[in-house]
Amino acid sequence: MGKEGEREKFLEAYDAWADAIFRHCYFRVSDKELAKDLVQETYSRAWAYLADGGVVENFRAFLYRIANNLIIDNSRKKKALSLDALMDEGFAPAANPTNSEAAIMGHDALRLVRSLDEKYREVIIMRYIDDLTPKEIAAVLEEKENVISVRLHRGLKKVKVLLEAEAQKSEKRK
Amino acid sequence: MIKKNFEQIIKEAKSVGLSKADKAELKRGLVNFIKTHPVRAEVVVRQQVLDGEKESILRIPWLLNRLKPMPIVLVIVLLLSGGTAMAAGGSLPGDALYPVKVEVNERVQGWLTFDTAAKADLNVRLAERRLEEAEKLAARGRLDAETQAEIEVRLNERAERARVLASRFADAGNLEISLNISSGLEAMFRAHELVLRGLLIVKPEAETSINAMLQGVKANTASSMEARSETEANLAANANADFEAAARGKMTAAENKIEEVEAFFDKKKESTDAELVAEAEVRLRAAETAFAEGKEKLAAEGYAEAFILFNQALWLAEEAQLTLAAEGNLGIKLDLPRAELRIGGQGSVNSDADEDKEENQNETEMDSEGSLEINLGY
Repeated sequence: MGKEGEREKFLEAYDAWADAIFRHCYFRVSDKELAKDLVQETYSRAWAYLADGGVVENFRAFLYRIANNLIIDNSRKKKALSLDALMDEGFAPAANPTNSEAAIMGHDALRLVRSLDEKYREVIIMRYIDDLTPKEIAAVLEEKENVISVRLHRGLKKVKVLLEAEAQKSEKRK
Repeated sequence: MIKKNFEQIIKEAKSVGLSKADKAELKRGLVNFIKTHPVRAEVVVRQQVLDGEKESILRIPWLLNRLKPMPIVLVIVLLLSGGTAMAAGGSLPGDALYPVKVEVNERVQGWLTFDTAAKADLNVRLAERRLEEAEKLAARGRLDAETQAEIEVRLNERAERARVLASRFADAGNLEISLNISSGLEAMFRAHELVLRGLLIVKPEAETSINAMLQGVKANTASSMEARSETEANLAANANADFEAAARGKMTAAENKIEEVEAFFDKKKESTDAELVAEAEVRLRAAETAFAEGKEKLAAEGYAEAFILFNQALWLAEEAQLTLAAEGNLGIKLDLPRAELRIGGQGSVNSDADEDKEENQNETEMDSEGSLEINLGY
């Protein structure tokens, strides 16, 4: 493929999946600006790989893997800088939704995934928000497929527990 | 009722996306990035990535946070000069640019290595790099206990990562790649054990730290050897007729490596410490013997055994090469007293009686016509 062709194909991949990658990053890091940065970083690194002659079979999985690595790296740095982390995590969901909170994108989903452990958050977001198959998720996370299936199953159970608890809380308020 | 809620929540989540303006803004940034990083045929990955780092450092504040310990002047230098990340390559623990080397360059190298076998090799290489750093520091009198401990942690992380990948390959039935990784680790650790014992002799003031490093390396050598032997046994047990091609492939690889190292040996023997030359030679001869035995097995259609022998030959040659290259890497001459180093021995000087005994043993073994039984653990 000629140089122009590579570039065009790559930009098509941007048009097609930038929103999905953004969505994924947003629900993982709970920060719109950071999510935007991560999208740009993901695509930049993907381009650097291609420009160097790298060959990619499944471009979508490739993007998710880069994004996932960046997210993990980011959270490691956040753990190390605890004061900054506290400031970054300024978004603390209140018990009663207010107008300003309702304005936050995907507020309920955000609250839900934030209550999950990272391990489950990852796969739940990938399966239900990103619509990746368990096989694709396994490729992205470099895990065996049945490990992913088990994790999804357990994650979903936790989601159910969380939602039931929420439902009970709102019942009590009535 | 609950299921419906989950579905609603998910539906809402899926509507989250980039605004048109944001999407366009990011695309513009990307287009610029592409302009400055044209498709190139044969450019080192690192070069591309480093150029990329210059752009993205500006965009991502949390990357700057990593560099916090650096004085502000150096941060500006980093932002302005594209060559800084390259310059970080030779830095050691304690240098200002060391964090860049380890946290940025090496990490990104890992991300862009999508072939798992290559990833394993990368981890072996990075483990070795940690050892080289410790050795260089010891040679310059800069290896204190704290630094040694830090280096050891990183070293073990990389070695463990390589081991995990090796066992994954084995589990997936790919014993050849698994064997390659284990052998690579073993050869690397054995070569560096030698170097560290040499350093112990020439830098007695750093005895404690070097000894600590040595213990760690010995433990790693032992577990690598164990993994390698186990894989060899598995391989032998699972051999079939298809293995001929693999054995022949390994033969070619071993042949090329031996040739390469023999040329290297000739080049280096005059300028390298006599003891290191002697140790390298022992390994090179052992490699040649293993190779010859491999050819015999191949002729007798013992493909698994042939493969194993060729693999041993290859990695013995590699070990010889690492041994010869040690002084060059360290930047100091290891003026070693004769016969101080024994691969199976202790760190300190052997008693005279033991020394003579082992010396005689080695000589006898080298003179004998039959198959070589050098005590190198094979």
